[in-house]
Amino acid sequence: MTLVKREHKLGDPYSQWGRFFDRPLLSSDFWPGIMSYTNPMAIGRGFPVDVYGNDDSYFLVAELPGVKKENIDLKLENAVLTISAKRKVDEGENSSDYSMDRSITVGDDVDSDGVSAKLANGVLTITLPKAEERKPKSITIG
Amino acid sequence: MNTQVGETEKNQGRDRNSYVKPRYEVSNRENTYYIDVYMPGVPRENANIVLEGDTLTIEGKRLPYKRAGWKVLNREIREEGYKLDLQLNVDIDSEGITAKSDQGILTVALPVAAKVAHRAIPID
Repeated sequence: MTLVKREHKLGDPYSQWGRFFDRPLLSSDFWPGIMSYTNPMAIGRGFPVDVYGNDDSYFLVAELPGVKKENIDLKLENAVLTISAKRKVDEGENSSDYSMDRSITVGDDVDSDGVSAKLANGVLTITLPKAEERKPKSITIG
Repeated sequence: MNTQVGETEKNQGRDRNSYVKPRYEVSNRENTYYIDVYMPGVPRENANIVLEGDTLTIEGKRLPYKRAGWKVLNREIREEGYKLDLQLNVDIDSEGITAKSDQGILTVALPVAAKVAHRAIPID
């Protein structure tokens, strides 16, 4: 016997999840010329990522529910940040592995030594500090 | 392009009271059903589980990812809260419901009510 008779507001349980990936990518002229995106659908299993920024840093936020810290691999190489995540699902005798990847092109203005990351409640936040010489400065008129 | 950015801002206000349906999985072990609800960004204290009659409602409020002073450069993650409404087919022992939250997944354990639980019947 199945547990769920029906869902209120009928629909495919994955439909909302899929909506993340169906959205058109913002056109490149929106970008301040720093980061560009690889379409997650083109790589297979992806996950949604938000990008924020302030004067000092860029911030990448990725939703990775169920993924443990030790199963996340971050690599910054040639201005491309790759987030790889593995998840083991245990259901009694059955266990299966999922892996997900996302590659994001970051600009050459990121201080690669200062990159840090934090995982909380299934959400990974990566801080990419801007290199000192690229931060906005106010110029005093002499 | 500018008009699109403007619309996004407006939508954020309108969406404040709407919900996203989280992905979920159901499994069954030893007279207990387990529902794994994927709610990344929801800390334990922001999740709410209610069983009313045969309707199980699970809600979760995300902490906002955007901090003060951050500018949005690209957004794929929806910011609405999660809400899952399920009409159950099985009598559940509502007193025995437990839940735990781990890495953005809320697991709700629903023990089957004693009168419908599968039992081995001893033969005298």
